Amino acid sequence: MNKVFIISFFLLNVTLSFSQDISTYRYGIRGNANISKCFEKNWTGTIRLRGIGQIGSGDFSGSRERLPNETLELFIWGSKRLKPNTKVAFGYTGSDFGGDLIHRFNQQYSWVTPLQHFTLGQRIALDETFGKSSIFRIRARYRINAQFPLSGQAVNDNELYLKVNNEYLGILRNGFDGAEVRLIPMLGMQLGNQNKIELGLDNRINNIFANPRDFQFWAVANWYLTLE
Amino acid sequence: MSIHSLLLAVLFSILVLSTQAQVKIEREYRIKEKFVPQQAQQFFDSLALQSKVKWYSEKSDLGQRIEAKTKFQGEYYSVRFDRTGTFLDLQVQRSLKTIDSLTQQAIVHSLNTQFKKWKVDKVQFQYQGSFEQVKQSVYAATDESVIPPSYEIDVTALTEDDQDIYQLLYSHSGDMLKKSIFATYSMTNLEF
Repeated sequence: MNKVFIISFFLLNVTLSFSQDISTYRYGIRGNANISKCFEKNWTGTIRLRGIGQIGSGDFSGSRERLPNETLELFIWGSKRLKPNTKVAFGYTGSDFGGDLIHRFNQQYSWVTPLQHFTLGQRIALDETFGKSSIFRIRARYRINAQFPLSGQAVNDNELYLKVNNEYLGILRNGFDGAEVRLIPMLGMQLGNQNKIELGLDNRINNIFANPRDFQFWAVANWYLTLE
Repeated sequence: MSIHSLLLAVLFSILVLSTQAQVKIEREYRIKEKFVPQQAQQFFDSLALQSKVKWYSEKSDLGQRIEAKTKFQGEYYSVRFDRTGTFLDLQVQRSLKTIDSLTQQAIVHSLNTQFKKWKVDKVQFQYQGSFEQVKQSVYAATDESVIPPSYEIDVTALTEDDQDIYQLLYSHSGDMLKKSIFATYSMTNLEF
């Protein structure tokens, strides 16, 4: 487990140190509100509202620009628990990029493994994106995340936890169109058994195998609520 | 009232309501060694497990307990005491496969009968008895224990409509002695 995170940090650092001046960066804030409702036969419906606010951007040669823009995304998911701690989910995402509506269909298989000192989550996902002014693209994704209690051996009510997400994406758009790596450390708090909030930093590198690379840094806030 | 204020009020109400709906069965906190009853420390030291120990205070519907956790020769040990330091039991984490095959079959049959789909999260061999008996059992091979262990098994199980986490206690011969249900926590943040 530790190896995965060490490799991820290594990848990020190596890429940063070799990044040429032409590489670009963006930064801003992201907020996610997730509300899930459990239904019969182990079905769950989830709605997620995501707001993305880009504050600035630039490149590593020193040029900066302040081009704030805002995007709103709405996710609608249906998921079914197939086995204990294992879920399959299908969803639709609508994004508003400056008046242009982008559609995305999502499919994913996720499983959670409780371990001695932390809980491990893994996800394999596929999504297809298209829109009026957007070329059709497919992304294949693998994410591994871990949740560490900061008190005791399990996360209980009103207790803090550390969550680390690490995701790898391969993008197909008229052939292979690059890869992306994400590393997202977060501090979370369990508020009641079905309610949690998280704050953290979302770090992304687009075009990891090519130049110019695009680095993204987002301050993130997540809220999860599950209604029985 | 503006639409923003209304939205905030609704979100706040949902947050408060869901926080009140919590169910709590067991909760543990890390404690410093200086707060551990002397009797408990002496017993733990006498086991001579020669490994680093972490002490916890465990609060549950059964009251408050003191728990020492350590890893010894690749196995996780948990020694429980009451709040005065009187020894309660010793648990060693092992896999289901290490249980005697006849008992194992009885346990698997019991789980199949109770649940549609299930997955074992943790199996602990539980030793109860006198200080000396338990100490001897720690160093004995599994099938040569001075006192026969009972088996505490944590299971994640799918019921018809939901997923729940159970803790089941089986006797050495595989009879179910106790069944508890844990408060479950949504794992949406690891799944989506």
